[in-house]
Amino acid sequence: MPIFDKLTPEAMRCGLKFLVIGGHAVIGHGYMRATADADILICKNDRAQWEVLVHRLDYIVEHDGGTFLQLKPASGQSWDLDLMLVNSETFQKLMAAAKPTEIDGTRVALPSLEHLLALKLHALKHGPPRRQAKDQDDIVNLILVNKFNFRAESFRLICEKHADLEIYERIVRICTQ
Amino acid sequence: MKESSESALNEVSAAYRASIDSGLDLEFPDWNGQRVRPSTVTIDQMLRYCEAMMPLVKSKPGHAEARLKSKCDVEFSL
Repeated sequence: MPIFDKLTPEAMRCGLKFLVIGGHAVIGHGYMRATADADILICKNDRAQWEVLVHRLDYIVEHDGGTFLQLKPASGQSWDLDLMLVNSETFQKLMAAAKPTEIDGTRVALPSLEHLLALKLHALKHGPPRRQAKDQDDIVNLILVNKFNFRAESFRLICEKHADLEIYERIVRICTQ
Repeated sequence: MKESSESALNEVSAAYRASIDSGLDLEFPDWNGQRVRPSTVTIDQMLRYCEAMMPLVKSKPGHAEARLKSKCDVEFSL
């Protein structure tokens, strides 16, 4: 029951672009951990078209959080699907640095490692406490698996912008051990 | 609660705590020095595993409710 083999051609047909984020992107960047849903990032200007598209793929909106939409398949066991919405400028920047990857025989775009870390840091800082352990684990393992230079000044700046220095210091401490 | 039943309850509770305390007195070996082994699983293999586990995960009580409370509602911007 892969999801992107249906979603990607349909999005292309409608001229809609997206990035694969969340657990699929973490796996795509080399940290193999379980995930129970699929997350994609879209431009919020395209929201109405996406709602039509996912409805055509038999998904129904379960929760509208404003900055995200949570969908579930109308029938059968399939991936739950979450859409994260960002402004046009952010979307363009993420797309410009995206990493092409093949998932389920379909070419999809993942955020660059730096951008995925920024997304995870943002979630760690602003998300509900119940997901903090998962986001921190993702950040640490993405750094370690990819031998990312967490001591570089650029990483401190990413942390400062999307999280805070306390989180930065904690991550550096864990990665150093 | 009657005095007699309260005292019986305290007695059982004390016995239970004692059994738990002694049960937690465990000695583990030193696992330091284990080698970190990078995963050899491919992206698609990992996703098939996730799909195989999905019915189990989704049937867990409270899964759907927890999922709906798991998102960050602050907009991300670069």
